[in-house]
Amino acid sequence: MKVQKRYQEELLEWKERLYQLRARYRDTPPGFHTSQEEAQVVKRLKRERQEYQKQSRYRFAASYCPTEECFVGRQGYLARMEEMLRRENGPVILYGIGGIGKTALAREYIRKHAKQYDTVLFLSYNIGFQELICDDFQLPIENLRFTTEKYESKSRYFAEKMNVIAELARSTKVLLVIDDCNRRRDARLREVFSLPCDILVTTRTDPSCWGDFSAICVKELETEEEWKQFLRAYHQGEFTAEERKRIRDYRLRVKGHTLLMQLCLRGLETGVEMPEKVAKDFFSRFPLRKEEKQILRELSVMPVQGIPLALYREISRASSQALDCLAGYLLIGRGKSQEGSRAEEMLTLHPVIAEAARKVFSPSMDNCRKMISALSAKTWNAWNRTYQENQRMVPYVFAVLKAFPRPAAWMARQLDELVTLLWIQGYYAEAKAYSKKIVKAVISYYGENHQITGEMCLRLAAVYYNSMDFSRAEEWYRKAYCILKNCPPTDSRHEYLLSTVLWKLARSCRYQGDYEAALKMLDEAVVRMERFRDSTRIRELPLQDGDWQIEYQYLLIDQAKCYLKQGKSREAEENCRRGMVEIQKRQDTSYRENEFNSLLAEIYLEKGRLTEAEGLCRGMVKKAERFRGRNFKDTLSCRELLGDVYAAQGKRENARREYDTVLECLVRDYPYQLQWTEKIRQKRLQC
Amino acid sequence: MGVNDTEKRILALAEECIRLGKQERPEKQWIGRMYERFRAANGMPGKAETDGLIFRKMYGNAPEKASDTLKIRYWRTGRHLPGSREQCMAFGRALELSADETQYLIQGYYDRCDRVFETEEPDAVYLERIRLLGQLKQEYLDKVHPVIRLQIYQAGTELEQSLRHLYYTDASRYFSFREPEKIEIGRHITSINYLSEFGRQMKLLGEIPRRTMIRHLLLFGMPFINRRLISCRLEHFGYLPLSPDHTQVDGSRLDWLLLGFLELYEECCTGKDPEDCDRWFREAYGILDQCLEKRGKQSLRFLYFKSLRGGE
Repeated sequence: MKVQKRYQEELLEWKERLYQLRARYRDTPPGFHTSQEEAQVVKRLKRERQEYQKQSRYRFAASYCPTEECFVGRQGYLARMEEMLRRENGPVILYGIGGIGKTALAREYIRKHAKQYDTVLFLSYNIGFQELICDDFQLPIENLRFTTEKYESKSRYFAEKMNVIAELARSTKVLLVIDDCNRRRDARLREVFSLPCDILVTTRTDPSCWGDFSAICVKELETEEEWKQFLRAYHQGEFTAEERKRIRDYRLRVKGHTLLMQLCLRGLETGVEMPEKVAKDFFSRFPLRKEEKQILRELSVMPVQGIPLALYREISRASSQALDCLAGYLLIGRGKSQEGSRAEEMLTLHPVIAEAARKVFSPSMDNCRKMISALSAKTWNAWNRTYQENQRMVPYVFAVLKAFPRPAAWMARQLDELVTLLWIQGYYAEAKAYSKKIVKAVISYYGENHQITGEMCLRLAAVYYNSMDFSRAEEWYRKAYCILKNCPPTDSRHEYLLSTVLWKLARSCRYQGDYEAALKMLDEAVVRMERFRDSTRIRELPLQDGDWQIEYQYLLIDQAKCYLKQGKSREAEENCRRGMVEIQKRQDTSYRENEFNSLLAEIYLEKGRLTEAEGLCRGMVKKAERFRGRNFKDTLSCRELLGDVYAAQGKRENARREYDTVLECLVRDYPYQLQWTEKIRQKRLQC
Repeated sequence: MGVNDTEKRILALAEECIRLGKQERPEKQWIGRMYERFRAANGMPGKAETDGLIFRKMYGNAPEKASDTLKIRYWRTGRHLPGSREQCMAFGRALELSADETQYLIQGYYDRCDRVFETEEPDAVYLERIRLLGQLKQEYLDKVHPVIRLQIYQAGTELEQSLRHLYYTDASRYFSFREPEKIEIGRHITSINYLSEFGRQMKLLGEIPRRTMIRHLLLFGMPFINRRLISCRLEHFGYLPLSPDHTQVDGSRLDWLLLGFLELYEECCTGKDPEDCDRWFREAYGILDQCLEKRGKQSLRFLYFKSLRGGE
């Protein structure tokens, strides 16, 4: 460029020198012989000089002028932008999630301040600053154009063009707007940001990765007044009450996301899904890797309030790098959640991002199976965790089950673990509903005569049982027994499952007073459990697949209960102590201890050892409340037993208090447990 | 005037110049007159005696043999010229020439510059002549076409340092005519003699033949030249101004030729652009030079110099 410019300049100067010589040597042939002749040459030279200056002078070929558009509120942001630019401290960066209004804000700033600038440049960042600056269509400068013959490479042209821009920026007032700059690293970033002009940048990335620049986080409209203006601006006429409510609900759902609210008011129904184009746009600006897409996919399934980082890392094995990257892109949020004295870091997705992620990345049981399995493993042994501990997992379990309303048959066991947590925490209706879906799915996939089908029927029976729908429970236990008895075994768990179902049926018999039948079933259950024990001695089973020793102890408890009912308290106590020894050997302080204590307390009550019984019962109630919650049936059972002990001791006031508490819960939470309710009422009356 | 007419006129000029060159030198006639005047002033001795007297006056002693005064005879008859400037000056002193006549002796008869500077001395005349030469050089460089300038820049040298190459290239174009844009500064003069000779001439040091100075003035001045300017500049540099009667030492009518050629130039090119004037001059000189070369009249080829032969 220098060479070419120099030649033109040289040529012009040469002509000017010749002119001077012609004027000096007028009496030589090429000299000026007339004043007209000289004047003509002067005129021509002047014209050529002007043309040359016009050709060689650099000027911005165009200045951006935004069209008028609807824009409401955000005056605070505009004031901050003005202040920051006035300080001339480098670029001002507007950042926030896609569609929140950053570009609209930049355009509004331009409309407001256009007269203060000689030139406004509005550039859309694409792949890099070098490409952006070298783009002669986006950033045209008169008399400056890239050709390979002249510059060979874009990097040379970039250097030349930057010099020209800097020169122009020094002599004129320029506003440079770089829109949608989402790259975290760009080798030319500092150079461009150092241009001597006002610079505005919009980005979906966390700008702290670029350095210490002035930044404004653009969020949703903040005040109700702004929302009112917004509604008026984008909607003609008045809203009906129903429309108002729908819009309010939608606004809550999308957390006031500007673009979606605009679409909503412009005709998009609030119930309709986000348009695919809008959804894709949230992610198209970032070079997301497989891991990052998976994280978005999984987090989109999680509840709106997010998931603790530690928990998510456990169930997903997501790397810190990938999480940091997504946080840098502002696609995931990281915040603190305070629960009592505990503060933990949470991962959240803006509901709009979540919806977009669901649309674009389509979470399914297939592509989320690892997370589901890990979550299932996390909820295993919920029976022996406290209520509070289990309750922390409930939102995530609900979120997963809601996200995948059609269970995959091959994930039945993992999903059943999640369902188990729900009914342990008292969400019977939801647990039943999903459990039924699981059963339907396995029947459809594996058929009626399959071990897994039997197992899932058994699990459904458990849900019914724990929700005290005993008749339905028994139906399903019997169905499970039939299937398991007749189906070919798939693995060694077959014996374990049969043992379990027999045990449950024996319990049913025991409740019905058929202790002989119960004991017979229990004996068979023990045999089968021992077979299972023997088959698993050779190899390790996953924990979830049955701690047979625990199950074995439960069989002993039930046998003891049968003996107790038959008046055989000695045999009952023997069985109980055998089980207790096992518990103590394992130093098991879980809820299981309550199971044995409950039986022991009954034995003590029977034997008149009331003080010991009272001690045991008080401990049991505390533990049950801790593990199961105040209103769980196990807790109520423990309380009832304590009431019985108080009544036996003559402590009527105490007994009444316990019975009243149980009655209150039964009437409120288990209105259909009429038998139990009546029994408690009778006991209360006797006090 | 058509091209053919111009060519005819040039050729006619050349022929007439050659014809005139066969005549006796006017300078020789003048020296003859000076001689006769001296002889008359000294009692009209015979020519041999006068020669002897001149010898004695030149060398301070009488000639020892007859052949000693032979050169005096040759000088006054035009057969030979004094061997050196000093000898010529002594001859003039011996003839009792006046200052003007002595000047004419050197400039006209001897066809040389009035003074020779061997060093860059702080002499008023020298300084003035150097100043003029500097001005002419600068004007010459100012006229260098941008294409040539850029070639020089790209070669990494300064314009002033390339004067010699420019001059050489420029001069060579009068013999192989090419457009400025097509010229490349490439071939350098490797003749050491030329290098040092040109360098000294640009400092006006040593004996610079008149014809050489005419060449310098033409090349430096083109196309802004005419008869008057060349004549004035010659005079300014201490040479005889252009005169139609002046001959070179070999009797050739260089001045007559040059005056006629420049007259033709003025006639044909007045009012034209410098580039057109330049083009005309080159073409016209090319015709003239070819003719002179053919006729073996090297001394009339006023833009030619030996060192060009290596580049042709």
